[in-house]
Order: sequence, then C-alpha cells, then structure tokens
Amino acid sequence: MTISRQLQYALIKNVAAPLLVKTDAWKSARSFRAKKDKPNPPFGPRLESYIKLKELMLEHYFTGRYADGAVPVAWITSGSPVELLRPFGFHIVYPENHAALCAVRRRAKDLCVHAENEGFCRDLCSYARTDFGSVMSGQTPVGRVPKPDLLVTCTNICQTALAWYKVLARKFNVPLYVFDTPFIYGEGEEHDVDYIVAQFHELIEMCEKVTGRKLDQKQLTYHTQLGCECSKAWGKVLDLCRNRPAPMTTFDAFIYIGPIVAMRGLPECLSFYKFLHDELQDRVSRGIGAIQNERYRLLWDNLPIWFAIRDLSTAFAQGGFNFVCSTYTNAWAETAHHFDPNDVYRSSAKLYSRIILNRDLRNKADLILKLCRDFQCDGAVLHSDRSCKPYSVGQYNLADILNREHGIKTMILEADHGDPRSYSPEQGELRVKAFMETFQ
Amino acid sequence: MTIASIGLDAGSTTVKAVAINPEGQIAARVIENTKPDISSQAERLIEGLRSETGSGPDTTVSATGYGRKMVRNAGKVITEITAHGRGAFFLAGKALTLVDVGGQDSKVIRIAASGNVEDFAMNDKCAAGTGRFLEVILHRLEIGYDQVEPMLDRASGSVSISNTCTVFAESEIISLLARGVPVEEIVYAVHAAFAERVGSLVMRLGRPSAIHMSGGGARNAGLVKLLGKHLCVPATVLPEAQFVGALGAALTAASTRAGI
Amino acid sequence: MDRKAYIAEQKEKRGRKTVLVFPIHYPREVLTALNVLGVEIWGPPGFPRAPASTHLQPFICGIAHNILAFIMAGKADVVDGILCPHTCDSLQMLASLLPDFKLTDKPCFRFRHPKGKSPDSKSARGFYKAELKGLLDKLEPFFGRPSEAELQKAIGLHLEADELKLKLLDQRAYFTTNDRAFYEVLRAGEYLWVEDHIAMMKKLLESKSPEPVEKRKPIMVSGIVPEPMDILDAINNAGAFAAADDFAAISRRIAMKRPNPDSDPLDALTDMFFARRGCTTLGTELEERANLLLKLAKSRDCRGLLIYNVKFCEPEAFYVPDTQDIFKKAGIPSLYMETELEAEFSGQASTRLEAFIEMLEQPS
Repeated sequence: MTISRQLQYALIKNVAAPLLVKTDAWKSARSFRAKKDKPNPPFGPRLESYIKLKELMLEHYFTGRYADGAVPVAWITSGSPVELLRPFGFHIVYPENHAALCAVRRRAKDLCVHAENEGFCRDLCSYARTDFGSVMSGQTPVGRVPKPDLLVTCTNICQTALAWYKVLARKFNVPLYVFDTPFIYGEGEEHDVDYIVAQFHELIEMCEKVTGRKLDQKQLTYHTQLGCECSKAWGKVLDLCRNRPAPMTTFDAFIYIGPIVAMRGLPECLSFYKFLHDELQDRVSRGIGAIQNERYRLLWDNLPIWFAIRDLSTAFAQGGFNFVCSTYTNAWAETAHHFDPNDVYRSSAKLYSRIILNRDLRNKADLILKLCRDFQCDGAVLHSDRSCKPYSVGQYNLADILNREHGIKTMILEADHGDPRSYSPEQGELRVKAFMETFQ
Repeated sequence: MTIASIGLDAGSTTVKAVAINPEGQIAARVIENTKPDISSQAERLIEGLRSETGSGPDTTVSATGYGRKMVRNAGKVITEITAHGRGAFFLAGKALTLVDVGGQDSKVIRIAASGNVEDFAMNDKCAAGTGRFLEVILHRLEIGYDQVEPMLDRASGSVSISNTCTVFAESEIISLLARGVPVEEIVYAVHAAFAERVGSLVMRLGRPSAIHMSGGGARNAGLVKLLGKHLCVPATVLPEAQFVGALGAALTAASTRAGI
Repeated sequence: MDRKAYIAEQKEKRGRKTVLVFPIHYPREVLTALNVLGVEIWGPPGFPRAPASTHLQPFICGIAHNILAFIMAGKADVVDGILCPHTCDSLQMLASLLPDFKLTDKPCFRFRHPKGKSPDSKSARGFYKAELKGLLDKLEPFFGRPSEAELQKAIGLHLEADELKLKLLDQRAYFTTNDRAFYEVLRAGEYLWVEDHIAMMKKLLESKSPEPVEKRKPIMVSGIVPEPMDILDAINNAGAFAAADDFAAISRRIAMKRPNPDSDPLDALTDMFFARRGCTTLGTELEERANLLLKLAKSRDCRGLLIYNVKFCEPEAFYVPDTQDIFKKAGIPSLYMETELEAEFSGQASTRLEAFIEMLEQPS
C-alpha cells in the first residue's frame, strides 16, 4: 500500500464518488420525476428505490477502481462469510456479481469467448468464464476491477467455486482461503459445525497476515450482527410479496439483490432495504401491484437468466403472470434466523452451511412447497441452468412432484445464467406462451 | 509422365486423389462425392489416375481422410492433420496457420518453419463450425456458394443468430424469415456465427499473423473474407485448396519410398 | 470370471455382502474390514440411458447418467447398499436424488471429505476423521462394526495393493502386454476382493521382462477414468503407450506415504487420505499438482500428455488450461479430449489422437 494510492483512494471515496453519485442521482431523479406518473404497461409505476440502488452500486464499483494499493482487496464468492473480512477494511469484489452485471449489459458472451480461446471449456460455468475472460482481457463494463490481495471461496454454493478460485489463485499469485462447508444430507452433523468454526479462526488468521492488522472482536460482532440484520431486512422486503397484488416482481428482486450480496454487513445496505421496504409497504397499503393486472402468481427456481430478465418479465407480465418468490432471492434471507449474538461462531457456521444450495433435494422440495404456500403460487418456473449443476439436478423430479402431487403447474426452462448462446429466445418465448395458455 | 506417388483423401463428403511428379507437382487429380463403399471407390480412383498418367502398379499410394483405413493397397496411412500440414507447407513454402473447413470437421493447423505440425485444433463433434452446417443452412435458403460474397457485401449486419447448433440455428432462421428479415442479413448472420466458431478454434492456438484456407469451405469466398475480418488478419486461399490433404498424402508416400 | 458371477460367488462362498460405490475417493479399507465387497461404478456405457435422462439434464456428465441408467436397469438389485463419496456437484446431487425421490430402495451412505485443504490442515484432518467415525456409525446397523484389529488388517492389505499398483505403474515399460490388458489388471481392484486383486497383480508382475521392452512412444495419460477402454487400444494402435498414469480411477487414489504403524486405524486412514497425490475433485493446488505431473512425465521420458476428460466434468476441466500451459513451457505438447462415455470410441476422436501421436513422431 502506498501513501499516494491511499490518498487518492480517500479522495475518491470521500469526495469524487459522492459527487459523481449526487450528479447521477440528480439526473436520475429528474428523469424519474418525469416518468413517475406515466403509465408503464404492463408493469406498475416505477420504484424510486431503483435510483437509490443505482447510486449504491455506482459508488461501490467506482471507488473499487482505485482500491488496490490503497486498501486490502478481497475477491470472494457470494456465499462466503464476508462479515469476517469487514473488520480488516477490505474492499470486497464479488466476481459472481460482476459476471451477472456483464451478462445484464450483454458483455458476457465476448468475455466467455475470450476465456474459451484461452482453453477454458465451454461447458464450464459461465460466471467463471466471464470472470476469466474479464481478468485476462482487462475488459469490464465497470471501468476497472481492483486486483485482489486475498481470495476467499466457500463451497456452500458449489464445488465449481473451488476450482474456479484455484485458477484465480494461480493467475494472481495471491493467497486463497478455501472455506469448506460440507454438503448437508438431512439435518447436518455436529462435526460439520466444529469444522466450520475452526475455519473461521483460520480465515481470521489469514486476514491478519494479509492485512497486517489484528482482529477487532468488537468490529466483528458489529458487522456480523449488522450482516444478520441486513439479511432479515431483505427477508422482510421479500415477504411483502405475500400480498395480493405483490408490490414487486421477482425479476425486480433479482436487481435489488445487489446490496445483500455485495454489501452485507454495511450500514448502507441496511438503510437501502429499509427504504425499499417502506416504498413497497406504501404500495401495498394503496393496493398497487408490480404488474398492472396480476392474475396468476408464480415461483422461480434457480439463478436468473440475467441477459433475458427484461424480455421474460415483460412476456409474463403481459399475460398477467407475476413472479412473487424465488428460491434464489430467498437464499440470502433463509438462514438469518440461525444467528445468535451470544454464540457468534457456532451460529454463523449454521447460517453459512444451511443455505438451499448446500442441502439435499428433500429440503429443496419442502422449501419450494412452503414458498408456494406462503406466497400463494399458482405455478412455478424451474430454470434448468446449464451453468449451475447443483442448483439444476433434481428439477425434473421436482417439476413432477409440483405438477402431479400438488397441482402447481410447473414448467422447465432450459437456459443459462450468463451465456446467451445456451438459450434460444424464440423457443423460450414459445414455451412461455404455451405454459401461460395452460392456465386459461 | 513420371509419377512419384499417389495420394488419396477419403473425406466425409468428397474423395480426392492426386498423382504427383518427382518435383511434387500435381500431374493428375480427381474428385468425387463419397460413395458408401469407400474401398472400391478408392481403388477405382487410384486405378483411374494410374492409367491417366501411365504409371505402373508399383506406384506408392498413401491415404488420409476419415475413410483412410478403408483404402486397401495404401502403403502409409496418415491422419488429415499430418496430410494437410504437409501439403500446405509444400504449397506455401513457409510457416503458416492453415484453416481447413471440411464437411465433417473444421481444423486449424499451425505449421512451423521446419514444416512440422506444431499444434492443431479440431471442432468438437457437433456439426456447428463444419462445412455441413453452412451447407444445410444455405440449402434451406436456396443459395449457392458463389452468391454468398455479394450478399455479405450488401448486408448491414444488423441481425445476429445466437445459436451455432445446426438444429437451433435452423429454427432461429425460420423465425427470422417469418419476421421478414432480408435474406442477405440472415446469410450474413449465419456466416458471422460460423466465423466466430471457427475463429475461436484458430484463437485456441494463439492469434496468427495471417491464415491460409483449404477444404471445401475455402470455395466460399464470402466466408474466407469474413473469417479474415473477424480475426483481423489477412486470409488467403491455398492453390489446389481441395487437394491439400491428398497432396500431403502423396508427398508422404513419395518420401516414404525415397526413405526420407 | 465376469463381475456378476464374481459378486454372486463372493456372497455364496464367503458370505460377503456387496456395496455399490460411486467414484472417487472413499475408504475402501472400512468395507474390507466389515467383510463387505465394494463394487465401484464408473459409469459403464451400455445401459439404456433414456430412463436416466428423465431425471438428469443433458449437461450432467456421462458418469452420473450411466450410473443412474445402470441402477434403473435393475443391475444394482443385488447390492446391499450404495456408498456415495462427495466427489463433485453432480454426484453430490445424485446421492440425494436416488433416495430422496425414491429411485432406489437401497440404503445410501454418504461420505464427505474436505475440499481444497492441505495435508497439514488440522481442521480438515479432524473433519475427515469425524466423517470416518460417522461412516462406521451409518454402516453399523447393516454390516456390524469392525474391531480395531480388523481395521488394521484391512489397512495392511490395501497398503500392499497400493504398493503393487505403484510398482506396476513404475515399470510399465518392462511389460509386453498392451495398455488395455495392463489397465484391466490395475482396475480390477474396483470390484475384486483386495486379496484377489493382490494375487492378480503379483501374477502380472511375474511376467516382467528383465529389460524395458516397450518400443512405442511413451506418453502420459490423465483424466477421470479411461472409459471406454478403447481409448487405450487407440493409443497403442497409434504407436504410443501409457508410460505415466494420472487417472483419478487409478493413480490419484494411491497413498504415496505409509502411515505410522502405531497409529490408531482412523488416524492411519486419515494419513492415507492426505497422502494421495491430489486430485482435481479434492481441490488440490493447481500449480503444485501440475508440477508433480510434469516431474513424473519427465521421469518416464513422456513425449506428450493426453488429458482424457469426461464431458461436463467441471473440476477436471478447470485445471486443464493451466496444466497444458505448464507442460507446454516444459516442451511437452498435450492433447485435450472429451468422452461422453458412449459405448464406442468415435472415429473423429481417434483421428485427433492419431494426429497428436503423429505430431510427436515428427523429427525435431
């Protein structure tokens, strides 16, 4: 870390970024006011929270450009225990979040091709390929992504993340901590918790080594507690969609998920979700729905098809179909109740290991049925994601159970979360239309 | 006519055979669509070349191509990679990157200044990125190879197809036609997708300074141009583009006899 | 004797129950100590895949598809249970799919091991040992509990088998047999009782020539499993042989160091797990692994590296570009091939392999 980099970073973070955000926010607010009361069919009125979200993400990525050399930088997976890193002052980069952004901005394909040209097989997860392509070509829609001083991967989302980060560790030649959360069949075992708790301490030790700072236990408790509150606040936001009509669609939630993934444990994350909650609550009290004519309610399973969110949400909304819940958005809220401030480590071990992707299919089936009940779903769309095997295996059987045993009309949509070459929009749209017709 | 050897390239779409003189020049050539019975077809073509050039039954024969193992009487049998490497190096006389677009597969071969094959890449088994893919699509649009280039020049490149899988691409094209997209735009989109696929094969071996092309696909001038454009390198078609493999086989046969 | 007859004989004459075992890393010693025959299933081709494809997406690997096809064809009806090591995302889910959605009525025993941990990680060793204990608990109602002496004896037998495997692999060039026959002996341990496997390997070792006899080009082979075994014939027919092995089914499971003879059996088994060469599915350090392979390839004078992967196998595919890069810098060309574990080895695959060997044969 050099003083000049630190100075530059402080200047950017405290002066330039807020200024940029203010200007952008002013412009957005103006255009928002202009559009606010205009009809937006087939959707309901626009949310002001969207502007707040843009500000938050803009600031995050903008300050990130100047982070390396000034503050320690860590690249971590979405399921990693980020709260542990906060007390050390890391700027956190989420390659998955970045890859999703690339997909939304239609940059993922070229980055994937770049990685494939370097020998990475096309059957690998498109997040990983997008990330490799971006690392190797230096291309990104966010200007610049700071280089890591530390890599942390957590196996609670997949084993893919393990191999992916092994590759990154060689490319950057920086330490990698593998946070291993054994897959849970049934209810999990006590020795899993012991193993995970021991790893919390190992990770802290590694952070101390990389940053040269000692852990401040108070800070850790603060961020862990805050992280948990963020998750709960996110859960409350999602729960508002139990109302009829739902004030937000799951496709919106895919966009609003950014802060809970990338800023968990920070006060701005919490205040954002409080703002969003209030705005949605207001909609609920006035009976305003996220789509104009909510006739049927659906559940979404698996990651979003990032590059097709807009097309799909429009197609469904036009038919009067609203997605009101998803196993994916729920994943950042579902384990928050495990947290116990009196036993931070053991309770966090449960919080991190008991997410849907780290548990068996019996659990997933029960969870989907519970969501369908709680959110009064008439149907479900299971996105069979070529890039995500752990999330996709079992969907054929799940669809069968939902259809036959519970009368919940279910379709499988074959696609990919990031690579548009693995999705045929024509066929997808046709299937969606046929699916909607079965409700008539 | 003195004939040094005969080379036969039993490809999936066509069978090519050449007879070469001691300098390696092609003295006689023949090309035919591949018949189900490759053995007897090969025998007949070799016999034909022998009588045409007046060479005796002891002229050495080498075979290559996907049906190479079906060729009886062939002395040395080599793969298309080695054969094309050999033939292309003889024709170009320098280090080069060869892109061969054949019926069943496309291959990229990097040939060193010594004439050795340094590295190669082939498309995986799906038909995308092969000559067959273009053939199927062009056939559907009722367009011949010679019409492609002017169409590509006219097209604005405003549409693209996302799928290079032949089956998916066909259905995408049908819906483009249904939307009233002009045929030249579709032809462009198909060729661009193809160039991308073959282009990434090329890139797997590292970016070349130029590419040379052979195989049936090299007859599609529009494709050659587009591939060069896609890779930002000059693309040239080798002379005797369809006979590079057969020539390589013949050269191998000649050198085997000469004990080289 | 074929596999089916062998299993039947083991049941009848030796009273041995059978457990079907998924790939890759598991403590076979525990089964041996329980007098249970472990029969591994690496996704043999040849069973109708259609029933399995109504449960698994087409982008799940051939191993998972073929295992499910095998079970759904009723071929596993004779076994007394299924052991599912936590190998990768796909097999992890298959181990849930089978019992959770009632695709089998056999008990499924799941065994997890640490991922991406170095041998000196205390937490990982602790977890592995706890998993071993957990496995013994889960197996007990079905097969009883082994005594410490039974475990020690089983460990001794498997160490002997491992040493024989290493010896055979080290001296591959001294055998006149072709690769398929050689690998059939090495891989027979996937279903043979360990003592029978030891006898078989000893018999092959007796046929060793005093001098190296293999004249074909030496190459290194790597991947998950050499299946279909035609790949080995294709290597030989093209004029090369497998001089160094890094298949997960074979070398990656051999303990490279003997445990301390005084250790408690579970500690010994833990030592043996962490003494494996490393595997992509265990999240071994990338560069460390590649360098180890390179050293081995050089020691056997290998001219090339063949990576023969199962299509859609993510852990393996992630390691490929860097491994190829490290080999390339050392002057050893490599070829990456994929198999979908279909019954036949395709003509195109064979052309690629032959072209690769021809490339290695060029005068430099």
